[in-house]
Amino acid sequence: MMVEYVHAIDEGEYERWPTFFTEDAVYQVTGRDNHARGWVAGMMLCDNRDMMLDRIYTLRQVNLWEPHTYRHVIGPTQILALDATGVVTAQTNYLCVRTMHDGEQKLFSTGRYLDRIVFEADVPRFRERLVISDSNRIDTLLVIPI
Amino acid sequence: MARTPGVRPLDQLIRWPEADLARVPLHIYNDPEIYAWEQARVFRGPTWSFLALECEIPKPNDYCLTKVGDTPVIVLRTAEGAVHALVNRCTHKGSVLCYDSRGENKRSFVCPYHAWTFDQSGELKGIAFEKGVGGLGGMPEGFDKTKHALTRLRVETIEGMVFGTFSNQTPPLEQYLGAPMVAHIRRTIRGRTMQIIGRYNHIMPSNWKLYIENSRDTHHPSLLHAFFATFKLNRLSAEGGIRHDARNWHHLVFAKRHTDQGHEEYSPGKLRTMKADFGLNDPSLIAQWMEFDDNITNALQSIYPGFVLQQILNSIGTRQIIPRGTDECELVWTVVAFEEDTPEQRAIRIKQSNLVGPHGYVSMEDGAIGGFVQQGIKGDRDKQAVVEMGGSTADGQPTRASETSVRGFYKAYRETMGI
Repeated sequence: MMVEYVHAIDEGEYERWPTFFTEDAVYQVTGRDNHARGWVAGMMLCDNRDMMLDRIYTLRQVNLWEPHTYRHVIGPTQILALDATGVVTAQTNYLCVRTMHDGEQKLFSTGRYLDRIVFEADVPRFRERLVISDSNRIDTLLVIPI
Repeated sequence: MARTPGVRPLDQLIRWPEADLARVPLHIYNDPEIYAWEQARVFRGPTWSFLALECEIPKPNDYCLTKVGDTPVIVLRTAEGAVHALVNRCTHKGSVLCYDSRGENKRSFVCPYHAWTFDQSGELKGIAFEKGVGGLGGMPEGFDKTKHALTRLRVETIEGMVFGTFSNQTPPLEQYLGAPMVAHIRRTIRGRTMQIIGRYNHIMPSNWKLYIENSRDTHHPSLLHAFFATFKLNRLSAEGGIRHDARNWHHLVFAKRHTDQGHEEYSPGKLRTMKADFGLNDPSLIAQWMEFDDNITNALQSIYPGFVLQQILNSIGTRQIIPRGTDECELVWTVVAFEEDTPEQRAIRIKQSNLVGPHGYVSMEDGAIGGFVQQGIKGDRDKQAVVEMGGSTADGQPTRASETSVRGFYKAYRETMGI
């Protein structure tokens, strides 16, 4: 699931991105400092799957951006907790390099995924995926989910 | 005014193409010598710069770091509760005194290099080994510590926002802003108690002036930002306008989304940004409550040189520009809620933070577009930008199909630069 998620994004299959989430899932990108200070209005906050569909539609059709792709490298997943209702809490480090259409490559973000995962008919899905970027800085724009 | 060392006089660097304000020379966006003059005359000149929100230093002896242009600045609350701002540069060797972006219980500032110690007013209070060791070395007898205080900025606050200036020539803050600007700041904050809910440090690949122009450019939103046009959030066919202070330095641009009568230009197929067939799967994103009696749903207030107070639907926040050389700048977005908000109102503000910032549906293009200009002008430094929409003056106008506010920025720029 962790590997499939980053491959879907890195290969530009953005329409697959919402399918990794439950219908009521929360997805949010935030900076480490924002997170530590309890500042909840992070970047790209979706509190249901419809909002994720809207992000992908606008990425394809509405917003204007210089073409670029990501390449994620993820570390091993650490299981932090498993509660009685079957919710798994886990974290995974990531590194995300952005390649622009002219070939320029830049380290776009490093950080960790903090996830709550549930099983829907044996299929694991994110009920919550918090992307905690180590830096609060974003270069130029954030349009493709991390 | 003093010359900046190592930099040619301004009249050798800039020749403004027209007597009026409708042309801007393109080389002002990538000339390091002009950049050096801007530091001296704009950021350290007779202008007020936004420093911080008071809620970032709520208790006595709290501090946080910021920048005015390139200059690092400490903003602090004294033991007595006053707000001070000091240049974060030790008068001994020039090291920064604070290197952690915020802190508390800070009654004095001790340089990490040689332990020179300054108080909350910037006075030099102590030098390690001032008397030397065993009667040898140390500072000379006549060394006068009072002559080596930190540079202190004048500070004033309005509605929980802290501003600072380096110059004794700058008029008091409210006079500098002018009555229409003060009125709109008070209308937006209304004495409520701010709570920060998010901060985005947005690195933009363009000169700082290109972003400030963009924030004042009232006719780009529905042309560049398809989200604004498609959802009729900020189209030129809605009621709106431009207000300014007496000098035309600061501008407020506003729109009322519920008055949009439509216009032929927004017919399907005419503009890239008008996507008639698109609806949001989750329209709650743009559901807003009418927070203000004036029915304004979108207002950007740009205070010269580098500050913007924002209302996008119910997303209230500040934007502070920090130049990073000629070709890059950082825009610090701070979005706020108020202690007085209901939980539902707070939730709407949090959700609408999707609209703003580097990830914002109506703002992400602004990070890119300044970069497009910066790329485009590289080979043509002798050419000019045309800023003639709505005439060639910087007056307030009842329409937003105008670049008057951009001209206002360059009026202020030329007056402060002396060109």
